[in-house]
Amino acid sequence: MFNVFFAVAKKEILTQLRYPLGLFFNIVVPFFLLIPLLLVVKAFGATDSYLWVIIGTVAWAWLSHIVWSVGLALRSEQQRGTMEQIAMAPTSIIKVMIGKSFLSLTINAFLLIVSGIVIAVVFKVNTDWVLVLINFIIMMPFMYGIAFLLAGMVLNFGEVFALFQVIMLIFVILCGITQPIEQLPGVFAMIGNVIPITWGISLLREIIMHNLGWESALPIMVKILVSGLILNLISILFLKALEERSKRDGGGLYGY
Amino acid sequence: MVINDIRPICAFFKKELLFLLRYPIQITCELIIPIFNILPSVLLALALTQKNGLEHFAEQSGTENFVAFIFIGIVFYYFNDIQEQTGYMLQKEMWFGTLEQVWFAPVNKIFVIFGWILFAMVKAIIYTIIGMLAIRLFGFKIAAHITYVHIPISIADLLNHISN
Repeated sequence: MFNVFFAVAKKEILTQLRYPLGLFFNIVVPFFLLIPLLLVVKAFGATDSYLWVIIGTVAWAWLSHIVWSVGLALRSEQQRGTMEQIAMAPTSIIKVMIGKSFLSLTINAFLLIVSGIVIAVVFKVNTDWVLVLINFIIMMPFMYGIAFLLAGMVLNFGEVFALFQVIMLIFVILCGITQPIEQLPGVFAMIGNVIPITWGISLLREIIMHNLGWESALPIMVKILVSGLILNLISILFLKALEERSKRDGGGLYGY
Repeated sequence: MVINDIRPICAFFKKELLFLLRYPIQITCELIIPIFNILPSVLLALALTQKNGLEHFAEQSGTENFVAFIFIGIVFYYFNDIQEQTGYMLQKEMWFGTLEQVWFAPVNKIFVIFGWILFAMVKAIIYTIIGMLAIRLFGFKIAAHITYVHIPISIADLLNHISN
């Protein structure tokens, strides 16, 4: 398994090094996503809400990157005309996709480290950073689950960039990333409350802003992890079924 | 001469349009993206209004209409995005392996790029119209006191009057 993972990760590293400007863009762009929201907060004079917005936005910038990098990985292979080779390779497509996400997650971890330092120094937050890190890790299976589902959409529909954007924006709204979930009308707030990412982001805010401890965090973290693993299992089965169909009829293996 | 110049622009516009129409899921989502683009910032502003009121915002921005203020920024982003879209279309040709054919076509390359710019601009205008309709649908109002020196904002102003 790890041979495949490292081979794909190495390929992605070589591709990324071939285009240093893309590397620079990947590192810098999340900060430009954060700044407009902070300026909205500043315009309203709610400087006490900076930390609340930063935690949600930074966490989401990193987590959503899993969906973008894994989900769109197959689309870029379709466009380059290499999807057929990947589908015919004697390995699982899931391993290839996880290997592909490794580099972009590592690059984007830079954003998490810088944001962590800013939160600790500027906002003088003294919290359990190990708990914060574990919270990030337990949210990953759910995001990978969403990413595999959307990767299945790539095999089915081909061009899905706009679909990804819509789904990601729906998550931003429903999971209370940029605004409190109570702000939403009743039904939407109810839907948001059953999404594990909402629990994860809310927990992250509680840990960083109110120093929530292990005892209170643990039950919620278990809930997030279990639901993430269940979704992962369902989405892998879904992707496998679509992969088999693609191999049978050739659909989804080409860029057009 | 002029017609000869316009022809490749129209051809590349048509090519991109056909590519978009090829994927029904893409075009459906393209039409609803503007609605979801506006919501996160507007909902954040609404939450902050309930918490802090509008005084500070009005003092900073010169208006209490925060939805219009945010929407103008988003419209500017749509039109600013034309440059990214144009670059992306060129990259897409590279990925598909068709850039060589496009580049060696017997037309001035600048008109090929103008075709992509035209397509991205039409998309930005459609985004603006849908965004405006969405704002009305949510029950907000945009008072169009907009200065004419900013081209994208002026287009938003013009479209606002048309939709009235």
